Amino acid sequence: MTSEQWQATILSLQVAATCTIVSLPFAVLIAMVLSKSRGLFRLILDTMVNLPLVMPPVVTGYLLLVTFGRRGFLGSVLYQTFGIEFVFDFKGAVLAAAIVAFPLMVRAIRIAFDSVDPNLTQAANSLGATPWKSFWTVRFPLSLGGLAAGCLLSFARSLGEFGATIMVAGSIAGETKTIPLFIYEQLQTPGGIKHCWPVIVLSILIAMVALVVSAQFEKKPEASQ
Amino acid sequence: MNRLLVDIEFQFKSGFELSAKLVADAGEITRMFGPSGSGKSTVLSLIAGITTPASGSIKLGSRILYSSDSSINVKPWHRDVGLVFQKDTLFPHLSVRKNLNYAASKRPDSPWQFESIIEQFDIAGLLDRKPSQLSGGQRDRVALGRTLLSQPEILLLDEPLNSVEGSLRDSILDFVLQGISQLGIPALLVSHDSSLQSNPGGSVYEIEDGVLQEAGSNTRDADQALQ
Repeated sequence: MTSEQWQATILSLQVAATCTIVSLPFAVLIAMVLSKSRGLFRLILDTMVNLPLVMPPVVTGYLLLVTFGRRGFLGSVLYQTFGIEFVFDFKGAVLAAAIVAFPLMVRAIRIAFDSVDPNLTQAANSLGATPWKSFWTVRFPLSLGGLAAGCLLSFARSLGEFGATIMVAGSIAGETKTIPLFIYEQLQTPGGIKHCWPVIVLSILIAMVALVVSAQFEKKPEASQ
Repeated sequence: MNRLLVDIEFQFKSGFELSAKLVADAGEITRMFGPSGSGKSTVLSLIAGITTPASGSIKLGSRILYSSDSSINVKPWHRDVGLVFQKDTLFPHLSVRKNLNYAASKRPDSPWQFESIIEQFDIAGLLDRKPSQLSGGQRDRVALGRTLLSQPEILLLDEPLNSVEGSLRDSILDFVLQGISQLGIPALLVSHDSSLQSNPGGSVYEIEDGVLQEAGSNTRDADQALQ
């Protein structure tokens, strides 16, 4: 592989890993709320979380640009207060990937939380454990398989993110040019396809491994214990 | 010595109504029987606070655990109720030792201490095993031991030793009964085992057509006690 191909591959892995780590606490929190809530509130929250899954990624990217751009209502505050900028930046690529992959992570974790036998948390409560304690000592450890599955799915989805990333972060070599953007750029140039095959094969392999491993975790929610 | 006084109404989602009046004296095992699906387990979960009654009151001595009139509903984790579920509720990710210690509370005057329980219940050799490596009878013993170690103020036993056979079962029940008597706490036992129901001492309650009331000749007027 050429240095450019390696650069795109390593950057993709960095974006996917960062996005997964940053998303995890939020995904656990949202999954907890979803798992406990019922009715209209749950429907609204579930719809909001899953929206990026079905919305065109370019639309997601546009909305992120409007929100987190230097003149966006959040972006302007972040830039002026902390000097943080997302547009055409590694952070923008992470943000775009995180938003698009978030629903997959939340869904896997929520299913894991829901599948824990409610009798176990009731038993913990009757033994004097507060809901907080019973969550961290019973429900959470029994959901670790689902957590791992969610992380792997999110990681795999982040690797393939294209539409929202190109809108928010552009395609800057070594900064935001991930595998999909590298492939797209190569395909725009005559004969560029020749340079794509190694990264295409590599990205398929990574995605397949992530899916197979996450499926194993989903099958065995107590596998990590 | 705290007496448990229960006078509650509850309606299932199906519309079936349950009315329970019960007095469980301290230091005794009060037995409750009735056909399968009659609501015995529900009565225990109402007392434990896992399910909320429609109306009525639950008192432990002078302490009100639930009162619809006073809008009091003490949370399950603050009730000091030891409930041994009919279903297997050992935490599958924890070893037997960690299950036993999950809620272990220090009470020096209690006969229910870690060492005495693992000896009496014959579980000393199982401490490092996971629940999935235990037989039904072993799980029953660990679940009961875990509840006793939490040093509850009320003991609610829902067919607790179903899979435990013979002399071990009798010696465990004797051990539990001695502890109840020494600590002066009330205990409520749901069991299909007729030998337990006819066991002398303690009141016997029967649940039929959604009404829980005192049964047999070994009786005291529950209505009078609840007033």
